[in-house]
Amino acid sequence: MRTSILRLACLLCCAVAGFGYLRAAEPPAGPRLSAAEAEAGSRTGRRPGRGWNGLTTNDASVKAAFAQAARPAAAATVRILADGKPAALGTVVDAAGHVVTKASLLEGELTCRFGDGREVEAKIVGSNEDYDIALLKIAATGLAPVTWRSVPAPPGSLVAAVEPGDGLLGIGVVSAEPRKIRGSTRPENSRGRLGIGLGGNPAGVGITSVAGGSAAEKAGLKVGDRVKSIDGRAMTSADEVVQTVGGHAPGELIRLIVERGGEELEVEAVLGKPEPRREPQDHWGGGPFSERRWGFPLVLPHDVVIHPKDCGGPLIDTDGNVVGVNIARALRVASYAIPADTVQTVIAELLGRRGKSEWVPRRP
Amino acid sequence: MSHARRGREPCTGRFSGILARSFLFGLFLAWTTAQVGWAQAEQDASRFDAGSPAGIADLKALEARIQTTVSKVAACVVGVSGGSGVVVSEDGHVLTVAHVSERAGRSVTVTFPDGRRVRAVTLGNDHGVDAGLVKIVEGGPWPHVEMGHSGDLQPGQWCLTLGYPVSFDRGKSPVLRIGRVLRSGPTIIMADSKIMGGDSGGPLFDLEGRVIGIGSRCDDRVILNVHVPIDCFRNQWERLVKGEDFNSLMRAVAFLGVAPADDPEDQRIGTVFPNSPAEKAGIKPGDAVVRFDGKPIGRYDDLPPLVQQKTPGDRVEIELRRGDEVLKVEASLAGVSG
Repeated sequence: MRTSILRLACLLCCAVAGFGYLRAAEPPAGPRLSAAEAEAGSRTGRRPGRGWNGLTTNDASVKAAFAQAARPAAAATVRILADGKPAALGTVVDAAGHVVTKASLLEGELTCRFGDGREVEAKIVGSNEDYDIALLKIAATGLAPVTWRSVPAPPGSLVAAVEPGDGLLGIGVVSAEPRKIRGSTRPENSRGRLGIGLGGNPAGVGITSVAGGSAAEKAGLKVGDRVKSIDGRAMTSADEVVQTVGGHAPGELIRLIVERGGEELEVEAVLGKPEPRREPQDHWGGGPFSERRWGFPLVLPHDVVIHPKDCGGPLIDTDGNVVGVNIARALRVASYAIPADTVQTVIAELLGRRGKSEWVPRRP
Repeated sequence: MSHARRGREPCTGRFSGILARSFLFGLFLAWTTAQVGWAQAEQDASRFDAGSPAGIADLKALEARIQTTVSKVAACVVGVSGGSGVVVSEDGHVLTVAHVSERAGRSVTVTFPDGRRVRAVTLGNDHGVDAGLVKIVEGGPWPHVEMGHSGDLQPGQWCLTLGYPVSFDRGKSPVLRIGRVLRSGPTIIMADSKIMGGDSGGPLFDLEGRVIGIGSRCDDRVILNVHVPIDCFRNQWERLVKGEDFNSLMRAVAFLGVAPADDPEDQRIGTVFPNSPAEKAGIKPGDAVVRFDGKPIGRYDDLPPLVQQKTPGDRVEIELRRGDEVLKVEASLAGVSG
């Protein structure tokens, strides 16, 4: 029964086992602000309540103090539009018009808009799936690229995330030494969802539940059916079913052979999008978070709050030099940047590998 | 903030004799260090302890102070059970929160940033404010930090959070966040240096590296992070050391179920909690309470103390202004943990 419930949860969420960041012993949840505290004036809204003088880490005066240093980097930062809609930020890395950004945010026709309003076409030169970095070539030359910081920024370095024009997205500090982030590199919404629970027989391929409105329900799958094969591959365990379904993108068609009352039926199902996953880490708020925020070989954690669509832009130090390229809004307390030297290595690799097979973000 | 307090009026005043002795040497060192680095620190401190940086030079000075402070205190920030903590005495007293230590007499593991894992036992807990004390029961002497004072914190003052948020490893350097104190009261410090699960019990430092609060809880908004003021530990130090569990959450506080509007000038109700007595009585966001249980309400802040004077289960008449209308409703107050 227990495995059945586990598998049900597993399949319904289309989770893939093996997220290393989940510990066996999850730290206890800090209590959240109590209702009584809220009633007594710890405001639920943007303001912290009475007695506050308006000063925060990211108030206008702090940003203004950083603005001068940010100007060159801001001039080398572009807003990337996908099919005309803001999708990401990009960092100009050379005069020839190469721009790095966050690969998994790129879907559709790409253009880049500079702080002065100029908008130019952009094409993907190549991508690195491990780091989720894409290299774009834009239709502009003679650009002033960002300057990279020559040595790693140690914890405690003041940093700022910049956007095109004069604006600073926010300031904060480098929170820790660069570290590996475990977990799946695939964005959460790139796994197809069938919407069944499994575990009804020893092999675990018996369907124990069908989620309302799911791909499985639309395809006519019923509780009690046994999954024999998917796309011609025999299914011998629930894990195999989970893995096979999760290997398809939303919108893809799969063919299942199921056994129902001694008969074998062929069923076609168009996979749906997974429910937005609420990670245990998200219990403490601070979102929205990037869909692709796990599974990086190396990131620099910092505490600047950025919007997921503001990833791809530079993170600068107090000299205006780039310490990294923002790659994920990850936790209430942390955003991640790919360190400057790593970005430069990835760029060099992508330029060297031009023309060969490239990873392209998966599209539904 | 007075600089005199920093070295010359150390935290011995309200401490037990045993702890005071254990602290003396550390305090002497801190005092000496403070005197040596005085001129430099004073200039920087005057600029930002409670102020705003005027330009990049100020930010660089702030950065230098952050790095100096972190290098001084990081070794004393520990993992405690599933949460965090900070060592404040040579013989291994560790501050944390009550919801991590849970109750006196429990055996817990304390993990230092260098990877050392040592045995510890939980001492007393003030469950009301969420203060907890733990004592390492092997080895020593332990690296420790100075306890500051929370009574004189200024809104806008810069602060640092260190701890072990979920998904970051214990046994390594604690994870740093910066922020400013937003407001400070006798039982809570609210700061915008962000905390989350796993940070519970982690220290909030001033720029000198003194603990001013202990991370306790948060709201969805990233800027709303609540710390237990260090004075709560100081004021109850003897009971905590003796291993008393007190102010337990059994005491229920009367609760109506409303919260003020975001704008402090706005005297109307901003939020009505689902299934609360307020919602059941028909109170809506945007209503202004003009009379509670017969007593006039001039501004929103008059309301919570009146609610808390009542007992859960009491029925009270509430007069509301909604647009041009004045209406009367009756609510049956609920009880929540204080």
